[in-house]
Amino acid sequence: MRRLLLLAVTLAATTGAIAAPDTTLVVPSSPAFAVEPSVLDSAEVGFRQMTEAPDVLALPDPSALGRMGDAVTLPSLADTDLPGASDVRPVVFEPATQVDADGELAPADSLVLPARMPFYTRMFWGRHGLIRTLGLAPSSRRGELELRRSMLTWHQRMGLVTWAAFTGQFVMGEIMAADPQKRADLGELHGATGYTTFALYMGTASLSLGAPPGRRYSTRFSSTKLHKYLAVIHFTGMAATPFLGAWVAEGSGNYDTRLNTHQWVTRVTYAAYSAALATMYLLR
Amino acid sequence: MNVRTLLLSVLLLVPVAAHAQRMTGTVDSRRSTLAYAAHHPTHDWRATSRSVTGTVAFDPATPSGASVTMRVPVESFDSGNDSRDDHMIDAVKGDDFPTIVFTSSRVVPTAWTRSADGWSGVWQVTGGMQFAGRTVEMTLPVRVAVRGTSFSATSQFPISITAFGIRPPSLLGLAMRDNVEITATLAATLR
Repeated sequence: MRRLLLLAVTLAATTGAIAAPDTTLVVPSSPAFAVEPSVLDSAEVGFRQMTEAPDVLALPDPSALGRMGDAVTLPSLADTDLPGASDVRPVVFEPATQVDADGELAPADSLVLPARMPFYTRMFWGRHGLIRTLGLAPSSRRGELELRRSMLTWHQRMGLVTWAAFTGQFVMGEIMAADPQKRADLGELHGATGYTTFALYMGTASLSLGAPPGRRYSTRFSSTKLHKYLAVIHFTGMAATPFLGAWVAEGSGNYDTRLNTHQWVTRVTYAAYSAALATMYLLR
Repeated sequence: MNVRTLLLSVLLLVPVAAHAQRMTGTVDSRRSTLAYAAHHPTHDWRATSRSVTGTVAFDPATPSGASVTMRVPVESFDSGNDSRDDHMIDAVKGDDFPTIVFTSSRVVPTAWTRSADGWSGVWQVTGGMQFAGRTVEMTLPVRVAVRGTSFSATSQFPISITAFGIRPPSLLGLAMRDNVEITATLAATLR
C-alpha cells in the first residue's frame, strides 16, 4: 500500500503536478492526474525516496490521454523489478485536465465540476457546454472560479444600477398611467428609458446566468435560492415588458386592458426584483 | 534478586512512570467543531466546520507542558448558503492556503483543579494561527476538562481578519465587519 501511495505522488510530481492538501490538481503545462488529497497527505514523507521511480516506468503518451473525463490506466509498479513490486495492484487515475484540439488545457468535469449545477450553468459550462465547445473556458478550474467571482461581483454592482433605472422607469410609468396628459408628454422618453433598463437588466442577468460553476450546489433552501426563485418571476416579467409596452402604444383593442396588463406585469416584476435584491441584503 | 538490584530497578522505573503520565490524543472530528460568527451591516451569519483534526498532548499534573495542534480545511465551513461559503473561500485565499492551522507554543493554566470526576480549569494557550498565508500569534482562553480518557476544550475569542491580510468581503457595496467571533470545541480520547 505504501508503495502505491509513493507511486501516486511520484507520478503527480513527474507530470508537473503537486498540490497542497485539500486542493484539486490542475497543471498548466502538461497533462496531469488527480490524486486524492488524503493520498498526497499520507505519502508526503516518502516522496523524496521515490524520485528514481520514473526511470523504471513508461508513462503514457500525453497525446493519447483521450477526452476529458476518460479514465487512464497508468503503468504499474508490478511491471518493474522494484523490491515488493509484485504485491502492488494496478491503479487507475482519472485526468484532472484535458487537452483540447488547440493544445489548451481545460478541467476534466468528472473530477472538478460540482454536482447539481443549474441547467443554464450546465448549458454553458458543463462537460459539453457551449463555452468549452468553443474553447473559451479558462485553462484551469481555478481560473474559472476567479472569473466566476469577478462576474458575480459585477452582477451585484450592475444589479443596483439596474434597480435604480427600473425604479425610475416604474415611477414614470405609474405617473403616466394616472395622468393622460403626462402619458402624451413622457411617452417617447418612457420608451427610450425602457429599452435602456431592459438592456441593463439583461446585462446583469447574463453575468449571473453565464458565470462558471461554483464549488458546490446543495439542495438546501437559502437566501441565494430564494433570490433565484424570485429571479424566475422577474426575468419572465422583464422579458415580456418591452412587448407589452409596444402593445400599449401601438396595439389594437381596448386601451385600458392593454395598459392594465402592462402596468400589473411591471408591478409584479418590480416587486419580485426588489424582493430579490432585499433577500441578499437582509437574509442570512 | 538482591536488595541493591531491586532498588536500582525502582530508580530506573521512576522516570519511566513519570513520563507515562503524559497523555496524548487525536482530535475526534465527529465531536469537534470550529465556528465563526460574522457581521455584515444588514445581517449576521454563522458558519461551522465539522472537519477539525489535530492532536493534544499533556500531563494533567503539569498542564503547562501541554501542546495542542488544530487543523481545519477552509472549504469545510458551512453557513447554510453555498454562494456565501464560496465567496468566503475566495476572500480568505482558500485556494492558495486551504487549511487553518493553530499550533500552541505555550500553555499557562490560570485555574486547574482535580476533583472526583477528573481535571478541569482554564488555560491561556499561546500559539500561532496560520490563516490565509499569514501566521499571527495569539493567546486564547480555553476551558479544559478531562474525565478519565475523555478530553474536551472550548474557547471563544475574536480575530481581526485584516490582521491576516484578508480584505473584508463585501456584499452589494457594503463590507463585512473586520472582527469575527470564533468558537472552538475540541474533543479527544486520551491514551
